[in-house]
Amino acid sequence: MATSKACLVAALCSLIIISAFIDGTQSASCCLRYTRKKWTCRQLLGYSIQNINTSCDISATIFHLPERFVCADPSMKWVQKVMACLDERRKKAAAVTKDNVHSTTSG
Amino acid sequence: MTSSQLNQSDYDFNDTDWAEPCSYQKNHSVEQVVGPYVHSIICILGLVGNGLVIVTYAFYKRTKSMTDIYLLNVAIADLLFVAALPLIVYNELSSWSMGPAACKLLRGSYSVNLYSGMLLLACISTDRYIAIVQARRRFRIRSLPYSRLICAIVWVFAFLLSVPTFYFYTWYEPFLFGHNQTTPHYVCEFRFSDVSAAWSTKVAIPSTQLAVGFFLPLIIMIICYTAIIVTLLKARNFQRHKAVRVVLAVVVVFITCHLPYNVVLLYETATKFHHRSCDESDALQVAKTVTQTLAYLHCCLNPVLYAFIGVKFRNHFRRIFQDLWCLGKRYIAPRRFSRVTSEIYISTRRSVDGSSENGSSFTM
Repeated sequence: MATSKACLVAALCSLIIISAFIDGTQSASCCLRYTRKKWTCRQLLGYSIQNINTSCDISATIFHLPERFVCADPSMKWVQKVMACLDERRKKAAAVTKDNVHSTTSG
Repeated sequence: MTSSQLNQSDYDFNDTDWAEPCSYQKNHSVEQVVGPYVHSIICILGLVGNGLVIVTYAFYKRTKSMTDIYLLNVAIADLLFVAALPLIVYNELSSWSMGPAACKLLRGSYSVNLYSGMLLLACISTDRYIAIVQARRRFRIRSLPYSRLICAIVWVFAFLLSVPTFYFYTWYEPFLFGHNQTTPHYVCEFRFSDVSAAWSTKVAIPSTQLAVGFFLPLIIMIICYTAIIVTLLKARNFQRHKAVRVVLAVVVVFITCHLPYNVVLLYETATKFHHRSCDESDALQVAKTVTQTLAYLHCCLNPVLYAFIGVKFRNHFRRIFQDLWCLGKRYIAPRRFSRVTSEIYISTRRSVDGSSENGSSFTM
C-alpha cells in the first residue's frame, strides 16, 4: 500500500513537471459576429478570410487594422467593395516594388 | 503605409462594435488547470481501477457468465480511454507535437472507446433485465458465444460510427492573428474540403454522439432498470433493498456524469452556426470543458459500480492480494487466514439473491 501511494505521488509529480515545460495553448481565434460599423479602405491594412471548413463556424472577412482585427460580414456590399479596394491597392503596391526591383537591378 | 497617416480618431467607437476574433481566454485558462492536473488524476484512477478488473478476470475469474464478458469489455474500453487521455492532453498543450498519425489515431480511438463503453453499459442493463425480470424463460441469447458475438458487434458498430471522426480530424497549421510565427503551431481539428460537407458533418458528428453515445444507452438503461426495480420490490427477499440501491446508484451516477456534458453539447450543436458574443461563446466552452471532465470521471467509477460491488468479484480480487501476500511473506499466520476465509464464507452467504442461482453475476 505504501509503495502504491509513493507511485501515485511520483506519477502526479512527473505530470506536473511535464506540464510546467509545456507552452500555453494558443489555438486559432474565430470571428463569432460582425461589426456594425462600416469601414473604409483607407482605414485598413488588409484582410483575410475565415470560412467554416476548419474550426470556425461562421464565414467572415477579417479586416486588419494597426494591431487589431475586425470581423465583417462578407455578404455585405460595403465589405465586398472594401475587399476589392484592398486587392487593388495590394496589386499596385506589388507593381511598385517590382518596378523598384527592376530599376535597381538594371540600373 | 496608409495607416501612418491616420488619426487615432478614425478608430474611436464603442467596444460593442469591435467584433474582434474571439480567442477564448477563459476557456484556455480553465484548460490549463483541468488538462494536466484533473485529467492526470482521472487517468491514474482509471488505469488502476480498470487494470485491476482486467487482471482479476485474466488470472482468477475465468469469464463464466455473460455479464463477466460485458464487464471485461467495459473495463477494456475504459482502460483504453484513460490511456489515450494523457496523450491527447499532452498533444493539445504542445501544439500536437506527435504529428498527423497520432492526431487521427488518438481522436479515432477516443470516439471508438466512447461509443463502445456507452453501448456496453446498455448491454449490461439488458442482460440484467433478462436475468431478473424474464428469469423464468430460457434465453439462448444469454449464452457465452452469443455474448461474445454481441460484444464483437458493439466494437464493430463503435468503429463504424467513428469512421467520420477518423476521416475528418486533420493535423494542420491554422492561421493565427497577430502572432509572429517563429515556431510552427499545429492543431488537430476537423477540416473539410468544401463548405457543404462542413455544414452537414459539423452537425452530424455531435448529433450521432448525442443519440447513440448518450440518449440510446440512457433510454435502454432507464427501461431495463425500472423493470428490474419493480421486479425486485415485488420479490420477497431480504437482499432486495440493497439490490435496488445498487441499481439506483448505477443509474444516478450515469446521469450525473453524462447528462451535464450532453446538455451542453446539445445546446452547442443546436446553435452551431448562430452568431454570439465572445463572452457567451467563451462561457459555453468553459462549460463544455468542465462537464466533459465530469463525463470522463465515469470511467473511474465503472469498476466500482459494476465489478467491485459484486461479492463474487470482490472474493476473486481478495485472492489476488492474498496470493501477493503469500509471495511477499512465505508464512501466513493461521489466525489471519481463518479470519479471511470466514469473511469470504459470510459474504458468499450474503450474495444469495434472486438472480445468482440463475447464473447471473448480478450479486451484491
